[in-house]
Amino acid sequence: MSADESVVLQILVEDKPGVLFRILNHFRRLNLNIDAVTVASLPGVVGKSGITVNLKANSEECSMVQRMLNKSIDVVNVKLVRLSEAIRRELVLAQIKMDQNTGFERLIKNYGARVVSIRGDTAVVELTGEPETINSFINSVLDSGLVSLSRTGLAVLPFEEKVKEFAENIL
Amino acid sequence: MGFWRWKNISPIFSGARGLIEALRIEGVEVVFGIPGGAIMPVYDELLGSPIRHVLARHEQSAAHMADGYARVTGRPGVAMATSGPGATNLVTGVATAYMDSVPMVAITGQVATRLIGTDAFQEIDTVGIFNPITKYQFQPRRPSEVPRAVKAAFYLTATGRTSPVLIDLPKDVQMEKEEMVFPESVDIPGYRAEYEPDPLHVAKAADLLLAADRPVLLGGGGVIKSNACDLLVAVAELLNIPVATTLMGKGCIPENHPLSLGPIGMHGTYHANKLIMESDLVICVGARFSDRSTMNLSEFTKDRKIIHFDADPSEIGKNLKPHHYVVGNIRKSLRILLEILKVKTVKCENTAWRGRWMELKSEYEDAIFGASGEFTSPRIIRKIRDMLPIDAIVTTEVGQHQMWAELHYRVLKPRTFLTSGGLGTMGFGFPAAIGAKTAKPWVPVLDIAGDGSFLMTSDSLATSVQENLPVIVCVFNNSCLGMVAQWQRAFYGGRYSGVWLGSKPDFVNLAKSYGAEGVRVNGMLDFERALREALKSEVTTVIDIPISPEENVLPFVATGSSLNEMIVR
Repeated sequence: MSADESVVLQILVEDKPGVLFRILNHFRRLNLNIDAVTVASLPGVVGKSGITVNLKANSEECSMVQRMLNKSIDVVNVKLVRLSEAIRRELVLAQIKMDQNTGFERLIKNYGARVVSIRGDTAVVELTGEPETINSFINSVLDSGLVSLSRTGLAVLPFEEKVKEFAENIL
Repeated sequence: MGFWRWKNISPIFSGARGLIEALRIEGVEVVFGIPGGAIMPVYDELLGSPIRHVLARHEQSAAHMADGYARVTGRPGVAMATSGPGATNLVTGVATAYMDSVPMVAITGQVATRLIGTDAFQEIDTVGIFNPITKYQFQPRRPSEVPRAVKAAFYLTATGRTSPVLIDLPKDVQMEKEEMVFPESVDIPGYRAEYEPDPLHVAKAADLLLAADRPVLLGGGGVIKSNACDLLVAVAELLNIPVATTLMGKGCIPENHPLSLGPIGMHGTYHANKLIMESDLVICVGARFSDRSTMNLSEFTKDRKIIHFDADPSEIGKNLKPHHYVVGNIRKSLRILLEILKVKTVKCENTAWRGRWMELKSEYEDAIFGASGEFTSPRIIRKIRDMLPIDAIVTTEVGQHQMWAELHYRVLKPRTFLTSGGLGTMGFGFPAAIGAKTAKPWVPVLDIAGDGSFLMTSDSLATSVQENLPVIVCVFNNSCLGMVAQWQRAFYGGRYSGVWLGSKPDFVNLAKSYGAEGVRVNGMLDFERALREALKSEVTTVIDIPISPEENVLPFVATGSSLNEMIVR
């Protein structure tokens, strides 16, 4: 049994009700705990959606779940992405009370975050970065004025070896 | 009537009518089911259609009947039930078909769409429940979606690796009328029905096979499903190599064929198990290396090359890593293999390897079968084979009698031996026999049963009598759950727990109370007479065969042991 590593599965599926349930049920059967999952429609590709699943799993589990996914009727394509070979980004929105956080401006500057909106003494801040950066940012604001937050989960883009048509790339 | 009627026009039909028309377009002759509140519009339409309805007495049996019909014909069986308990009762039957890759369309009624999710009367999340046990689930939300759902369901169930598909039809969708288009085909982007075998992969398999000194062919259920038995036998005959099977593969080579070894596995034949462990190459065709077939997997793969032919790419490397594989339709793959072998080789003559397995085969006959008494289960099963015509269909329940059948019933034609191999469902055999009889009323159908299993679906006696589907049930009656008792003897120091079936019906009178025949036999002559009568009977006959509760199924490979470590006494 190989060691767990953080992996991402990019799954191209038919865009219709019940698909996410069918896809995630395979992970449930193998007792895999998902760290993040995102679903987004793909412009230019009618009737299909991309599901990105981030989880920790060993290579046997990865191969088992890929096997099941490939067999699923709704799944058009599955790609296992090695995180070492991909650009990883996540977005977080955080609502922060500015008066309780003396270092607010410095914090924003350090992380390269952006103030999206201000209402009274509360600001909504947006930060995009690798998950580790997002974690570190959340830890920094946790005890100093954090009101609420929302993070998106991971988006990844592996480096491709050659230039391909967009549609060919995902199909 | 039929498809031509709706080819150029779009009729306005209720969902129920659309369903029945679509079933007719798919060539459905018979559905097995039980009606209920949420499927009444469909039953009403059924009344005016030429599709036969066989009324089961429990939905599990309805699914097993559809399963038996499908295994015999190769065409999808159709099982029908209402919502809620009707659907949940279907589950075991559908799961049985799923585990054995049997094509089946299960149709369930559902509460009206506006009531879904409200815990309405007899509402259950049928699609959610059936997701892990079907290839796909459809729940049309408009009547106009029904024809496409049926077309897609029959396409999915019968192509690629065949498996059950569910259509869950809400009652309002059954009742409302809408304009319908009956499509000739469907496009499912993520589904690839069939893989073409790569001739280069097949050629490499042929080279490996020709280079082997002690090769064995292992045929699975996939060979039978893809109607490739003749080609498998041709390959074996060309190279003069023995053919072992899995339980599901029984019948892919006639078991009286000189090259047939019979099944391997926990209760495989002595020589098949021994020989496969002495081989240096196994070509496995259409089987999935289940734990019950290979037993200790690392021993199974040690010292020998494995080549895996399968129609389903997700099977390659699932249970073991083969040295080489060929993905693709089994029939096409074997045809290419045979052509390549014909070019590369002349017919092989007798070899030392052939001598070895002939020797093992006779050793087995003497050591195990020869030692048993006069009226024992193995002998009764061999007697059944002797008395049945070659194309008779035998089904089994699950337990000791099933394993005796695996060992001693020689299957001579594909699709004439139906058993629940994957799920191991007690109660499968009798309703499956009724389903088989529906498909082929002109051949005798016999269920090799145990008393424990038979009691689980014996209410199908009513179906067999009412629908005039006479089958024969041989109940190997040891008054206990024999296989569990055998394991308790072997692994739990003979501490019997929950296995004695003390209070059970008199099977003779049970059969008679349904209008069927019942007879109890003592001794082989008695049995012969009873079976001869049963073969002539116009109603179902239950033959009650009292056997000793101490009788074990042998040989027996314990879990964790290697196939050649058999308990033989």
